[in-house]
Amino acid sequence: MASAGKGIFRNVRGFFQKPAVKKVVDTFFPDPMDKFKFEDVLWDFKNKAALEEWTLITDDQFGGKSTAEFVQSPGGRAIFKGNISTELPPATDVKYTGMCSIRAQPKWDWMGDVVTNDISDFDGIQMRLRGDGRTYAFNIQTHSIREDDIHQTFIHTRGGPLWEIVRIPFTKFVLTNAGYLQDHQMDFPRIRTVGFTLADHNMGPFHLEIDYIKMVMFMYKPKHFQYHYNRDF
Amino acid sequence: MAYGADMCEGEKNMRCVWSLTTLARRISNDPFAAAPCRLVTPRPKYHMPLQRQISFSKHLKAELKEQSEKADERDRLARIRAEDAARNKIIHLKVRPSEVKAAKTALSKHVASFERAASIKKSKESFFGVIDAFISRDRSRRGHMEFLKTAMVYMEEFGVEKDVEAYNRLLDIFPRGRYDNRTLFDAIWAKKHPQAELALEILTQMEDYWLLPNEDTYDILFEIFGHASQPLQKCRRLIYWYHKLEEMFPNPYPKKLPESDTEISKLALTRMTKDEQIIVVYKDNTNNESQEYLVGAQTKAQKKLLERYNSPKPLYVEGPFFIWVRRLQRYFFTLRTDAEWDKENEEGNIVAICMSHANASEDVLRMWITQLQRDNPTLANISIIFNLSQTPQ
Repeated sequence: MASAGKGIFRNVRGFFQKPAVKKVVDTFFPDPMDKFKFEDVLWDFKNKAALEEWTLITDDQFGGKSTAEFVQSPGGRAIFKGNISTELPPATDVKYTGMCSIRAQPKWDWMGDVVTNDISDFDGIQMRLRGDGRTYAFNIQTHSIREDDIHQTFIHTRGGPLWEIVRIPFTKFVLTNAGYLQDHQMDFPRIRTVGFTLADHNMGPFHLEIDYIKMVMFMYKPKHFQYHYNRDF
Repeated sequence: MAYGADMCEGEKNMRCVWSLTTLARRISNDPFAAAPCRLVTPRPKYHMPLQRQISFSKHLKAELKEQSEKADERDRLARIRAEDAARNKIIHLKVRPSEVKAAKTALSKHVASFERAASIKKSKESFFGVIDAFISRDRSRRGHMEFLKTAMVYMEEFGVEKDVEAYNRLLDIFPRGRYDNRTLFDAIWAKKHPQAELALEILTQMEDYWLLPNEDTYDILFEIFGHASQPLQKCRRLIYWYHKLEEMFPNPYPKKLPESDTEISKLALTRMTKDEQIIVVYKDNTNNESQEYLVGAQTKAQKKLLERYNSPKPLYVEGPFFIWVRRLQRYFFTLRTDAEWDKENEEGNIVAICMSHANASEDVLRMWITQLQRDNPTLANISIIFNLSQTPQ
């Protein structure tokens, strides 16, 4: 054992390098990084029970004709599929239709408080998808004072038979209230529910297969923010 | 005053004064103006001394009487209305007003001018011509709301719905100096000008067509509605968010999609995976009139996988599956391995993808397989099952 230092320091270092002493020190002063998780799975759709905790809404609530379902796929994952119809209901003031959405139900603990996931250790959301080339909105409902607030971002699915892994940093989410983009953007410390929305004014069938949704820690390098430079506005 | 002939003088004067005060009261619409001239002045209600109420029966009776009177009144009104309805043949639909769909535009007098211009030529110039004619005809811009609403309907017909300049010309019609914010409170609590709402509607239509407002739009809105007004705020928001939301798209299609099926298929195939692909056009329908086309793609990893495929299990050709290329629905077929071959992947691995139309026949797909055999010699030894469904999945 090559220990640096001279005289008394050598003896001190040697003392702390003894395995028994090391063990005692580790129990009393544990390294905080030992328990650090680089990912936290929110939803894993391989188990069927996760499916039942999700809820579905389509625009037939206000007279639309879209249909959708959120069921288990033949491959053992969850699939969100259906048909979007932009047909306007007769004799109403409705301007746009064609919306289907799924969302995880919020959970409550025994005290009656909403269970939230702390995101402060993570950089973004990662999920494994198989889409159909459409653009879906990914929604995060936070533990906010205003209940209508959701943080949204877009998932531009590739389409095709191959699975894709989508990583969305939390910086890419925009705050909307009741569908309106807000001037004052905020960040969010906790996640209450997550969900997907499809409303792209595009009549026809759709399907989105989801494997898992998890929060991940990755060193985010904002290479996509090139557009901040060399622009008129 | 013929009727005052047999009256005494004093009474006549009294009556004259009375009629004058009545007239004055009617003009001023004040019930107490005529009071001093009346012989018995009625005391106002609120001067009555409060009576201790021992029982409510009196009041209840009064209330009941009032109610019965009201009911009578209601019956009478209903009867009158029924008679009116019978006479005028009005049909009362059981539809709430909120459920009635508002007509897009009432047929306005400006429809004629747009129709006339459309009959001559449907172009940007003729659309601007109608606007110029309106401005020169009425310098005070009377009825500009009606004109704008009509113009918004006719934009698509003239083919200017994706032109920022056309929107600028429309916004330019609003008269200056009438709808701007003059005080701080105007800016905080936005005035509900219908004109401002119409300007917001025009800007919303721009947003729907994914148009970026330019400096002219900003200046026009600034001149008309002023600083911190709702339309200008909306314009600022459009400009701020436009690029931010546009560049969220990591692998966009070109702004204008190519027209030929094979080119669109190539775009869709390149977008399916980020790996490098070998894309081959097996059958092209751009020059001949037949519907059939076939574009195949295979990555290097898929090719390697097929090389080391050593299993008695067959391969499957499956489809058609749909994919959306912006607003176009296209179809693809896959060649995949058996699910049991790869334990990790429960669905089987994709070995090759091809794009064709929805009801591609088995012969076309057979041609694809024979062409694949040229690139992948191992494929000749593997049996292939065609598992095609009638409806796209």
